[in-house]
Amino acid sequence: MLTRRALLGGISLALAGPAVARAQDSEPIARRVACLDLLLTETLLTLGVTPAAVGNIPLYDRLVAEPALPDGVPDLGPLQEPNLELLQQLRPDLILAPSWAEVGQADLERIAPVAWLPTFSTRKPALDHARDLLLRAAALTGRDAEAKAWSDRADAALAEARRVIEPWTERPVYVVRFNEDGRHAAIFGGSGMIGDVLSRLGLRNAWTGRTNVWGTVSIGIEQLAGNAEAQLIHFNRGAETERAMRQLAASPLWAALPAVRQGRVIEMPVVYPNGGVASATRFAQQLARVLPAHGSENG
Amino acid sequence: MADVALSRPAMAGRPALLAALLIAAALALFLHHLRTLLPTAEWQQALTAPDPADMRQMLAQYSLLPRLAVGLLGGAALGLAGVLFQQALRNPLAEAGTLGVFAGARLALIAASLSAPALLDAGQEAVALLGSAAAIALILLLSWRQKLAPIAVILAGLVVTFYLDAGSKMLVLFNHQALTDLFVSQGGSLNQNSWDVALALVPRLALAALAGALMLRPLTLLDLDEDGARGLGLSPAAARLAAIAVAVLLSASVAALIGPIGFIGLAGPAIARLAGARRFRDRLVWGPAVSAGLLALTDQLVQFVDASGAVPTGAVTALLGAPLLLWLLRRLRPAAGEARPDRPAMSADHRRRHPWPWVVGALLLLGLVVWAALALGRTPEGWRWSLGGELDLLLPWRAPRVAAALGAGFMLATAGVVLQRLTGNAMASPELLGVSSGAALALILAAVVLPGLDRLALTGVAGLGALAALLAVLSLGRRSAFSSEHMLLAGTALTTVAGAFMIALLFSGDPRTALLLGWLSGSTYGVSARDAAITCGLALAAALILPLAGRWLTILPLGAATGRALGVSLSRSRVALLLLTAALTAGATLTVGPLSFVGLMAPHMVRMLGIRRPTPQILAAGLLGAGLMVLADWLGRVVAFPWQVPAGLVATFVGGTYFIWLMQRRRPA
Repeated sequence: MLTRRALLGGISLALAGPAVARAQDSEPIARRVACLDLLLTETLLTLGVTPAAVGNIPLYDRLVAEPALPDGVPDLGPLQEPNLELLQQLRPDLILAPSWAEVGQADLERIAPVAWLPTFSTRKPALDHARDLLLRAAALTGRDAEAKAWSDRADAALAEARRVIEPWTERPVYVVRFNEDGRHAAIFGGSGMIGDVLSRLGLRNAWTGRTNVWGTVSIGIEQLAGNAEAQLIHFNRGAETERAMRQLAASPLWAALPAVRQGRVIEMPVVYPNGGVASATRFAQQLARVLPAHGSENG
Repeated sequence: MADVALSRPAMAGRPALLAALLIAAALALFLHHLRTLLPTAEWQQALTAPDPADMRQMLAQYSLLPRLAVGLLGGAALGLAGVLFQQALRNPLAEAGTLGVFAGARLALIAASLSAPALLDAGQEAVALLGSAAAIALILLLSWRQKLAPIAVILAGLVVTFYLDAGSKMLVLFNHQALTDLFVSQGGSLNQNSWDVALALVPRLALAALAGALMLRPLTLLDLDEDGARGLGLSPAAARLAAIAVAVLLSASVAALIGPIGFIGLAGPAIARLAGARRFRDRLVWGPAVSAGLLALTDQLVQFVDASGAVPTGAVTALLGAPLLLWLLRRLRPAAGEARPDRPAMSADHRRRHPWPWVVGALLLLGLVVWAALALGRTPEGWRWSLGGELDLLLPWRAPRVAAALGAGFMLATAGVVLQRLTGNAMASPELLGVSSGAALALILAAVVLPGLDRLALTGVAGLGALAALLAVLSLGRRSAFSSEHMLLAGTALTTVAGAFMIALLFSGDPRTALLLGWLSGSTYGVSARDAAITCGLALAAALILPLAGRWLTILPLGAATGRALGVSLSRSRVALLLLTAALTAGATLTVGPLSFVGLMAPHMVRMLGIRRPTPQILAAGLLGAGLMVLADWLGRVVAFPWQVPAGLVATFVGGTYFIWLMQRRRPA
């Protein structure tokens, strides 16, 4: 073990610098944490832990974005095939990985202890699950106080959002992200984080159809006609969404949707739909901002 | 002339009846959908002047009806393109899917959506056309020297398709999430929310049909032999190129507007022909009509089964189309001139008398490659040749991959040699005959139905799949006296089924999909020391057993009579060799995925070196294949560090390039 460190130290010291220095003062708590999942990375950053290495940084920046990943964190490559040689050189003392990948990536255990954490639950509401995840990650990294603070902050934000939204809860909501082809959309159902936050805020999800384990499914735009009363909330992902809206503008069916005809289409900044406590909090706060501005008050 | 005769006499009016039946069935289902949406009393209003405030009427007018129209028009367009391709290339197997047109469109669209999404804004069709045109140009260029002979064209189409799809897969692998939108819109789902797509298809289809009608005479004359056509004062080349251009334009439009929907363009004309539309002018009318019925009916059935609209129709047509194609293949028999397989394995142009030094040379070369693959790697600081203790730390990561690549390459190459000798077909290989795809298909099913099987059990499953595919392809081959065309087409059909399953999985949102996608691209990433040991053990066993079959392999290609005269039991030796090939392919597919070209490339290179005797040929090809695969794995590890390109994809690129170069040099047949 000693020779391993001595030998690889030379290669990795330049990269690892300050984090290595920190690793010496408290042994049982993991300081150099490598992370191989978007939700787990979000969770670490929520706790104020800068990961020692992360898989697929461009993907995190694109899909999750907040909390922002600091510059200089090494990228391990694809999430399903992180570069093991590089990871070994970076000498993490803990690896966080999604439990569904355990079968294929069991070799990670040879580099450092691995916490195989479930990134979705089929039984628990998504936000409860995300909170459990936050607490477990906190226990592993010695950030219990931060986790408690964030958990409280999320509760407060949800309670506040629920209070603000209360007069606007009569209409059910569709939450979608439009595909740039203007023919399809990703819709977020009851079992995922988006659906869970909606129900906690006292909003009814207008989409009751089938979804995958993350509470998402791809639908054709015509499916949005299912609920005539619904408000339509959609995520703005910049240029893609602009393209989608231009395509939709040419569709008579889109124009005829009750939500469109009656001005109940509401846009908001994109939130990572499989996200954790931070994403859920942000989604709730955004709802509290946009619904009173656009929504129709209970009759 | 590669025209294909029919095993059944033609009957007048049958294609029309068939097309009418298919379209009527689609219409009946459409009316059923309409009735579930809307009471019959409101139909007239909904279909003529819907009330904008009545969502059901709007859905009937702008979703159900245009969807039916897109199914019919898109199907007709695909069928028309298929008929034109088939006539221009005088090749019953040509369609946008087999000619690389869709693969080109797909790659161009993926690349555009990643690098210049603004291009897709107005120019989705132009982007698709650019990719399609480039692909078909490459294919025609490759088969030009062989005067666009059907086999050469289809083979070039297959190789270019695999090649371009390897590029697409690589982009998908690196940008999986970023491309989900494109998967959805390019998955071939026909749902509509306006008349835009249908109205865009009408003029395109009409112009193409007009062009087809104008070219009716010159294209019909292509059924004569070329000199005859020229004697009638017509440039066959011009007519053929014009027809191909029209078909490519039409296919690219369909790819951009609906998505690449495979097999419809092949199945429609083939069914029409089988039903009796033998003259070109008949096929020009009834091929598209049957295709229209097929696509519309499939799409209406999809709506019937999956009300939420999540299943793309394109995935279903591929699933339905491939078995249909295999069935059709059984009914088609090649014309007399086509039955004789090419047997370059037996040609005596260049034969080395002392092959063994070359085998030893291949072994030494393999040793060097293995050493470099183990020791040379990249770190964030740059290249590094690791030695001693440092290498010891890296070996647990590198050694299993190198060993697995080595074993897989060896097995693929030897399987290639056996298949080429068994069928007397120089283009036979586990990849091109679909044997690898059979193994892959069995593995995909196992991953979904029986998760958690261990390596040995998976090898068994893959072996069964490979054996089934091999038997299917060979039984087809036997009917057509091992005509390359039939066997290769059967192979492609299987590869397409595997692809269709993969698409279906991609849409299911199953988290295992990413792992499976990585594996299907031929990644050695997840290989454990034990897996590697099993792979190498299988390869070693093959190296020991195959020389024992040397006599069979010498005699079998000479034909049944010679074999019997020399006292070889044909059936028993053939069964033994088939089992062996299936096992070899299964072991390799499990490690490097279904596509790699190593099973084609290594035997070919060895034959070009003049090593023709079975035992040295097998060993030299095996060693060369092993070296190629190890090299591919190493390249994949270092070329995009810290990202990794699967060995199978790299091998497809390297092998595809080699193959294209090879086709370029080949003399006209």
